[in-house]
Amino acid sequence: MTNGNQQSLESLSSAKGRDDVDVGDGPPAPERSEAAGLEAITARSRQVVDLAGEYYLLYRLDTRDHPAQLCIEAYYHADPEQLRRWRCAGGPPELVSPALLEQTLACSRSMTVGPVEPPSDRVASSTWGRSAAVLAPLTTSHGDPIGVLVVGGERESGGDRSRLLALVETLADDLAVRLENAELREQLQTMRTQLERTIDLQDHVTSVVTHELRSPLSTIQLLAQLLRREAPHADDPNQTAASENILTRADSLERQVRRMSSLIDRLSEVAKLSSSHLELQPRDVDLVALVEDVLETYRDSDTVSDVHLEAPNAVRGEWDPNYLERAVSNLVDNAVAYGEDRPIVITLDSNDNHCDVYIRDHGHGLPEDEHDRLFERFECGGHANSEEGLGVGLWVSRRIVEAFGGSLTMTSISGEGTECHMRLPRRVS
Amino acid sequence: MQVNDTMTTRILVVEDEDDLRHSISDILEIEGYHTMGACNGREALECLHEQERPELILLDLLMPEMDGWTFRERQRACADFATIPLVVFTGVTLSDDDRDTLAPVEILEKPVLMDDLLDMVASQVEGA
Repeated sequence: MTNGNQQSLESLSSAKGRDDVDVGDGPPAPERSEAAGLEAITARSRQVVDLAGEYYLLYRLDTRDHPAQLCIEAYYHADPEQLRRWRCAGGPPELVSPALLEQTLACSRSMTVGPVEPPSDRVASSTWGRSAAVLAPLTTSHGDPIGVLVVGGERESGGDRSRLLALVETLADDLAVRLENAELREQLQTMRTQLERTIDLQDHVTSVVTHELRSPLSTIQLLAQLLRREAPHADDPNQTAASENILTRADSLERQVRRMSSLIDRLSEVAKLSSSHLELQPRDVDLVALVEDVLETYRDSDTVSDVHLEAPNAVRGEWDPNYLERAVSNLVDNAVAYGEDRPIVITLDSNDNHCDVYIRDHGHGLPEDEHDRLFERFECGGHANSEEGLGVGLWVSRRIVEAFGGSLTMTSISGEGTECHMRLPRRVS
Repeated sequence: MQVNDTMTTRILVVEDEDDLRHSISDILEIEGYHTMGACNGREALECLHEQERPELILLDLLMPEMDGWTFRERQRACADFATIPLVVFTGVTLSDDDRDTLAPVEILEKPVLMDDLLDMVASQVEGA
């Protein structure tokens, strides 16, 4: 090795971690190496070989087999004719014994092999020279062995072998980082693919299940109505009792159908909100009018006896009215369910940037340690006077409000009631 | 709608659930409509070719052998039947693409109420 070569080795060493090394015509490395983004580092390995040796071999520990085996990941020979022969043969011959490779891997220490004495205490035997080679282990950031880099050849070095050894070790460290990153990327991609498949499957199952449930519900619904229609006429004194029984049972059937239908709607909604990005269709909305519309449906159904709305004449903003109505309805549902039939107060406030909606009931309140849990799916608090909930209302509302760029929080005092606070930016960001 | 008005009105009910198909048919028959039943798209196409032309088709979407989308495609490809109005009767939430593809005159979501079913059929038959 010449002084000029030594200088080049230093510059190579200082290029650690950089990706701007010219790859040239490309190494005869297997495709997997290219895919793993190792081009730059294998190019530097080739430069080291061109300066100080004849070939390099990159072994990777393949853990898919049991026991794990070292397999050639990439290779290069400075002599084009020799390289061609290796390619034709499908890879290099056994230039380093498997025992030495395994020893390097097991000890996690570099070593040189060759006919002369070792240049440093890190070297197991011999020095750089004829048939010499440097073996450096590749280990992950956690210290797990993942491969071995071999740089070797028949060139007389005559230079600073410890410098060369250090350079090969540096290369091995870089390779290890890149291999580990490539593996992590691969694992991440696999997990992502699996997750996407799971979500697709969940969507499919939910769609099929809800469809399959709706069909029998339709049958029951229509049969109940047929039953009512065909019941003996109530005017017939001999049939009055029978008619009342049939009508009562038809009522029960229809009530249960409505309940199941509502549960199925909720399940479909949860599946939809869980798996997909909400496609909001914002437009100019008067929040006060929207809340009044929601409350109107409760007043019509006599489920709420006392609701106070404290709001200015109008609070306008740009939101998706369907989703917003859903979010508000869920919160009012909860206030009704947990409000012990006491007054419910809804307060609206706004400034130039955002609107605040406070929905307060005067029920038993909810223990503070339950608040976070209640925002999860399928979680119900105690004291609800409704059996129809799936425990998804708060989760759905928060999901919608957050899609608007807002926030939903809850405060509750035992014995005094619960207040939900929805803050909405005036426009969906 | 009076029975006399409905006696000649034929409705093809395409639904794979036997009980549901029979219930719908019963309700429509009580109102005086004449119904034909098919349990999938393939049977529905056979009905169109072999029986009297219906004035309205009530179509479920998710069915074995031939689903509602395929049936609709075949129906519209056949000049004799392409103009028969279609009511989609489904438990599936339709996307905008589905609505464009199927181009139904009406969509009934399951579970359907008897009055809604009869009102819809009456309005379609009257408007025809």
